[in-house]
Amino acid sequence: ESEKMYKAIASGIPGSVICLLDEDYRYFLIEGDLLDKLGYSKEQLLGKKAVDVLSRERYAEVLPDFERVFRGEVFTYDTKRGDYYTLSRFVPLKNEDDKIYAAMVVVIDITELKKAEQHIRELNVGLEQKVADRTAQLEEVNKDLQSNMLRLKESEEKFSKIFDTSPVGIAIAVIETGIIRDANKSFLELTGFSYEEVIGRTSLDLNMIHEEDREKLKQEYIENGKIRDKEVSAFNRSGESFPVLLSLDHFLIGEVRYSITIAYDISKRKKAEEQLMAANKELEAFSYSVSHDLRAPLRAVNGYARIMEEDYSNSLDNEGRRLLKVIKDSGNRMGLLIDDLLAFSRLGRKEIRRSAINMNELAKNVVAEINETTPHTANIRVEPLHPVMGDYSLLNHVMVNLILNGIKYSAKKEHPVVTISSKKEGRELIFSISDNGVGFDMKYVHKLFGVFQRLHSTEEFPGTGVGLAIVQRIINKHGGRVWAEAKINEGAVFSFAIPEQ
Amino acid sequence: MKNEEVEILMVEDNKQDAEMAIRALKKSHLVNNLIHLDDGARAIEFLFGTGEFAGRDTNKKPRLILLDLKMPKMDGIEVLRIIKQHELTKRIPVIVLTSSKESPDIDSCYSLGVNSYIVKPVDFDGFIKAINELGFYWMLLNQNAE
Repeated sequence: ESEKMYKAIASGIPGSVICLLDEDYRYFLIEGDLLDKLGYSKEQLLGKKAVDVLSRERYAEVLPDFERVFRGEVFTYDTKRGDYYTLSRFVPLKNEDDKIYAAMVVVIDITELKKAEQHIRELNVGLEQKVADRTAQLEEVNKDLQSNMLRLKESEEKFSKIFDTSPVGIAIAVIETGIIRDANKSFLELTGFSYEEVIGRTSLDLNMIHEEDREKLKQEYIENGKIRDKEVSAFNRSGESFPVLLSLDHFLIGEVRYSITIAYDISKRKKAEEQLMAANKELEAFSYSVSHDLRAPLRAVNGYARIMEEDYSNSLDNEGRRLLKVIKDSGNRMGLLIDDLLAFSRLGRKEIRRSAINMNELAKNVVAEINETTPHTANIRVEPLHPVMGDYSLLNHVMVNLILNGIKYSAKKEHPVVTISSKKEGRELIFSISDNGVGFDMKYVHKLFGVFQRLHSTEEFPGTGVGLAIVQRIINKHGGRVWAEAKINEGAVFSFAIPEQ
Repeated sequence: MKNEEVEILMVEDNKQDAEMAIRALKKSHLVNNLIHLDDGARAIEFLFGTGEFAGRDTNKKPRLILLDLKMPKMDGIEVLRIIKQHELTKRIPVIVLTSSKESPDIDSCYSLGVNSYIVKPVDFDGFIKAINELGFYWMLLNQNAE
């Protein structure tokens, strides 16, 4: 009966062997399909003593196990047998008197289990590696995120600072609706509104800008996607209008397009501009009136001197006639001075209009005109000249003046030569007009460009002393400078530099 | 103050300019009868036979009026306006002879119907030349209305 039971148990566990051993280590029961795999047969072992059927090495291996189990130990161990694994369990069997009469040995093929175990171990290792990699990745991402957050925070702080402390008014609105989302202190001060009054409203609601100007700005934005430095009339909370310089840009946050408007109060600037224009007009009127009021009596001085000459020359001796001539010449000179002074003053107020000038052309024209209108014997040499950005008529005036001077002051030489040349130095274009004339004493070079200053007498060389002052004024207006060098009786070089644009 | 033909009425407040101009015109035999008045109000009185010139035969009109602009009391432009608006005087050629080169002045004068606008040359020679030339033109060449 018990044999049947054991057989049933053994057959219930595929890949297993149950055997029972008695005190002499005799196999008195062996059941199970694993026996074959283990390399034994039932007939081989049943009823035999282990020492008789097992090989010497094998018996030496199992003997300690037998001894243990018969000592009452219950134990289990795994064995690797070639390419398969078994689990062996040793259980002592006790009779009614609690005496060990037999040992039960169960051997189960656990190869599949072992394989599964191995697989799981491998998977585990793989998993751990994946986890480690993923963790490392996450750490990297985290680091990036943190540094981005830091940068964002810095940028936000920077923007906040700029926004809050900027002296120009800044307002941020949603482009589509025009609703103002934020405005800085300067904007509020500029427009006279409080923060609460402005947030959530549009500039249209608040009547901040003139209808016409609004249209103009819209046009500009549609065409260029931004607005730059547009002068418009804005209205403050009290409805007063003031001039403002407006710039606008847009930026995207997610899907929403926002506008950032920068408004700069230019009332002071406009006022200053107006005052300047008014002052200039006044000055123009003044100098015009002065010159004409001065000219009328001058006309009389000259005229009456002439009348005297015509009607009373018979009553005059040579001395008388000489005195009259002095009166006339002085009158003429005063006329020249008035003319030159007027020109000097007018030039000071004139706006220069820049364009690209071919200086070779300009010089050629000037020389041609001089040759036609002024008799002279000078040899005028024009070397290749650099082009400049400048006011054509003003620079024409400069060239005329300097070339005429060159001719005038070398007229007494036998072979007067006037040379016009240019060179480029750094970011300046330098033009030089040199002559081989009478030159001047470098000791007085600083007086050369002063108004009415001359280094020669009118008898030696005619002139009012305003010409060079005018030249200097013109060149200064171009952002350049003038200077001169000379040696007495050897000639002079007058140069002017104009910054290249 | 004469009741005869006056060829030129010169309205000029600067005595020297007037003297020099008259001398030049006389010298070139362009005019024998010239009346010189030194302010606009007197000129109007002369033309319309009022005030100082009450009783003057206003049909005896000058052949030419030389008119300065910058004068005290009545301004030259005002005088021009009156002359050119009145039936009696509007056909008389008026030449503005002035030191003003200002566009607004020039524009106003032509708008009012001035016949010529001359800026007084600043130098004496030029001045005399201009007087002579305009004298020749307006007194000899130009055909007046009757």
